[in-house]
Amino acid sequence: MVAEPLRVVVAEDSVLLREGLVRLLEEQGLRVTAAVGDGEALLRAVAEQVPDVCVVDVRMPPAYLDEGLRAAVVIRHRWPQVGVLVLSQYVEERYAVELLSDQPGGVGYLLKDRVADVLEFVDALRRVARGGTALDAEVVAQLLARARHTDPLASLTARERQVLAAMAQGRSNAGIAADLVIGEGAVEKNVSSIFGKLGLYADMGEHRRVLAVLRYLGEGRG
Amino acid sequence: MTTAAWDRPGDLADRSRRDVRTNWWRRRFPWRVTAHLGLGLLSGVAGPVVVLGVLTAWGLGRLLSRDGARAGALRDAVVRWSARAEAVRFAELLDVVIDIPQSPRVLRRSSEPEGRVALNKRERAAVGYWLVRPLVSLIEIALLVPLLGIPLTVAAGLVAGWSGWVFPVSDVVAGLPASVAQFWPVIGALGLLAWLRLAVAPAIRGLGAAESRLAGSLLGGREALLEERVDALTASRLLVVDAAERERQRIERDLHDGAQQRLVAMTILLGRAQARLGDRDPEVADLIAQAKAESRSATAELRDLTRGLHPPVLTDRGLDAALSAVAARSPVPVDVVVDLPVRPPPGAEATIYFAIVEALTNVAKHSGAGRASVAIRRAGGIVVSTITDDGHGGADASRGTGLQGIMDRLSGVDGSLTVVSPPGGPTVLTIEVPGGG
Repeated sequence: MVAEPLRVVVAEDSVLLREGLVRLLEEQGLRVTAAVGDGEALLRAVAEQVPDVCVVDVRMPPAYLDEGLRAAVVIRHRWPQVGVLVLSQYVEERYAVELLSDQPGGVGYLLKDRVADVLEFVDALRRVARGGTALDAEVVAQLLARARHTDPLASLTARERQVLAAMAQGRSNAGIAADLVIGEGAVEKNVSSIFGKLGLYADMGEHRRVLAVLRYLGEGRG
Repeated sequence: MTTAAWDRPGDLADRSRRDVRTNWWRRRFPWRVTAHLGLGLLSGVAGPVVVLGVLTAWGLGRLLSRDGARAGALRDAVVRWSARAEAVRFAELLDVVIDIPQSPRVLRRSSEPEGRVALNKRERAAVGYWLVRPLVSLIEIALLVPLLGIPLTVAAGLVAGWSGWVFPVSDVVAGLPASVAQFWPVIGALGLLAWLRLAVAPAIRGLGAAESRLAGSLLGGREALLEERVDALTASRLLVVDAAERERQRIERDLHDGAQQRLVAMTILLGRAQARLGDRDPEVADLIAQAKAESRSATAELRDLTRGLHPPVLTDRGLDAALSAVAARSPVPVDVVVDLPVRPPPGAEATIYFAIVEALTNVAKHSGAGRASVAIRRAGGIVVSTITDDGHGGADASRGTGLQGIMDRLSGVDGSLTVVSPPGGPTVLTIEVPGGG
């Protein structure tokens, strides 16, 4: 993983931000293979280069509505191996659902200003490139708010919900423990309790984490 | 609408200057009305010409639809000037004022862009008037000729007979007692006067009144004009609401593309500075961290502001997605069900959205509700939104600014708000907004 730098395509229409992003990523040792300004160009760049991951702005020309998001959905459908990290000034629950509905993993959705936390941002980008998820805390809060009164999620305790939210953001147990200022053991206990309440069993292996996240994202959708 | 003056006592100053006898005669015989009816014959002849003019202009408008606007203006001029000429007759001879409406040009511009080919209600009424006009003249002739003609003929016959030209009156008078017979010319003259006063004058006045009413309702067209104005105002009010909404969208986009991007870019710069500095200089790192936190909260504030102006997701995805996001942020759990096969026009959509946001804010602030629901559906051309909460009820539109604010918003698009909120709850708000289709 250390051997080869991650290859990234950046799609952002604001020149100021695009330059900032490219510099930031290169400073962090990633390789930006293309930086484009609209959805069409993004799709062309991905088709040519098949990067590890792309960073996509939601609002881009020509109509400045949700071109980036549409392109992201296309990429996830056509090039499932390419990670997609969507950046936006606003996070919308509906956009998150659209992004996540196709398949789990390899996707992220963050507020633009999270980029300023450089190390965490690059971390999220690598995670998405590896097929993990990175959801903004605000997206998760919105999805949780919708899901909080639907079973079986209603049976989760407040702490379990916090842990699940952190899992949805793609955090590891150690990360969750640090975030919530509790021991890693306590996190593990909560996680297995969540698995139990959501009916996810050990023979499902590593995917239980993803499934747990999707379970309540799915409930939010219904 | 007409103002009748001929049945009022004459002007005082006028009366004092005139011979009492003339005045008596003037007051009692409607000479001016008679003159009015006489001139009306001209109108009767002119009527078909006017109709022809309007219809020609109309036909031109249809044929040369590219120049519909000019044909429309021509037709408008024909209608207006013919009506004005007619109004002069009523004003001068009957003292009846007929309001000839100014065509509402300014209001019409936006709602009827170009090539308006159909006759509007007022123009149809005017065409009707000019078509009826010859008929009116005919009816007047048919009434007045016998009314005036019979007694005049009789009188002429009597005079002729008396003077012995045609036949000796004595033959007729012979049968009467001598005392009556010798006064018969006087009786005859008085009878004629009485006929004129009691039959002819009222008939002429009646015809004058009838003409005034007809012209007032068809040419004056005040009501038709008011209807047109109401239509135009309703249309222009919707345009104003739409324009205001577009303006909010424009400001949102300007902020998004401008200040917001710059702030984010700055935050990212600070992040890069932080990352480069590492832990070389903790004091500077701390300053950078503070600067980053500040620009972050500025970004967040700006984000809330622009979202309040116009959430982009409303434009992108419509009410369902936008309200789902609102529901997700609400402290009270909210179920949202939107059943609209076709999206309402942008102005209506934004009005509904902001009204519901306001309603949900009220629910969270005042109702004490444990949960709420929003249901939107279409009933005919109306979008009906129902916001229900299980709070303690007692919401009153006359108190508190929340509900009043919703009503103000709705009034711009002809919407309405119904509040049912018995003490103890539940509270049900129903918002109805005309939504096209």
